[in-house]
Amino acid sequence: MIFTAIALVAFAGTSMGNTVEETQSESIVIETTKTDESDDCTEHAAALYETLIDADCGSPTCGGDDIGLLNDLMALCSL
Amino acid sequence: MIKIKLLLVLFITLTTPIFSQSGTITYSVNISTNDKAIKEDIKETYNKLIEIARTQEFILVFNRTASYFNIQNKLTDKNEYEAKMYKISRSAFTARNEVFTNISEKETIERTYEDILIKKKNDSYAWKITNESKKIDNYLCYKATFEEFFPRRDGTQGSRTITAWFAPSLPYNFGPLTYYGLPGLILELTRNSTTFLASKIEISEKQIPIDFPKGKTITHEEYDNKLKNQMGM
Repeated sequence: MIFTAIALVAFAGTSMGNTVEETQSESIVIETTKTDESDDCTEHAAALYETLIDADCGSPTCGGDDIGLLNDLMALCSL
Repeated sequence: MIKIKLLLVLFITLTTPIFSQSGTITYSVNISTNDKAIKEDIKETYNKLIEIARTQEFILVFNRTASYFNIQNKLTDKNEYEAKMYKISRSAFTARNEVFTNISEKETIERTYEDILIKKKNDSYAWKITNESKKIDNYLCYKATFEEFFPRRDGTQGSRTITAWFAPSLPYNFGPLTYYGLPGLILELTRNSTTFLASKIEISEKQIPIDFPKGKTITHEEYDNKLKNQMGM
C-alpha cells in the first residue's frame, strides 16, 4: 500500500549570551499518489453485505448477521 | 407351510411399494425484487448476483427416512472471479451448503464448502397448515407457514415467515433447505425473497440410499466463530 503522508518537522534553537535569538523551523512534506485497491474492494464488499442482509427488512440492523456470506464477499478481495 | 409362504409373499408384495419408494425433485429458483433502492455503486454487483441465483437448480433426493438437498448445476470451467460470484449468490440467495436430513433423529447435517459438518437438532417445526390450495405440476398442494426466529444485529429477536406448499399425495416429510415435517413433500418454498419451485418430480420404486457424511460435527455458532477468527474479527 502506498500512503499519503505529510510530515512536519520543527525545531527551535537559541544561542547563549547577548546574541539575537533565532528560531528556525523546517517542514518536510512528502506527498505520494494514493492507490489502495484492497480498501476499495473491502468497502464495496461491506456495502454489498449490508444491503444483502437487510434486503428483507429495510434497515441495516434489522437483519441477522451471516458470517458465511461476509466471508465469501471478502474472499472477492483476495483475487 | 404353504399357507405361511403365501402369506409371506402377499405381505412382501403389499408392503414393498410402501417401504421402498424414494424420489427426486428438481427445484428452480426465483428471486423477487422489491422496490428497495440499491446504492448506485453496488447496484451492478447486486443485480448480477440475483441473475446468477436465478440460473441455479437444486435437487432433493429422499427416501422414507432421510433426504439430501444440494445444488444441481455446479459451476465448472469458470474463472476464479465467476466462481466466487457464484458462491456469493448461493450464500446470499439460495443455499451455500449441502443438507442431509434425518427425520427419525430430527436432525440436519450441513456440509460446507470447507467440508465442515454442522449438526443441528430440530424440534418439530411449528407449521400452521391453511386451507389455501393450488396445483403444482398436477399435485394438489396446501399452504403452510412457519415463523422462524433469528438474532438481529441490533440484539433484538427477529422473525421471518417461511411459506411452503406441500402435496399430501406425496407422503414424504421433506423439502428444500432444512425445512421438513409437513405431511407431504414441499413442492414450493419461499424464504425471504427466494422461492424454490419444483420443476421436476420423480418417484421411484427403488430405495435410494442417502449416505450421511461421517466425521466430527460442530454447531452453527462454532462455525461462525471459526470464520470470524479466520477473518480476524
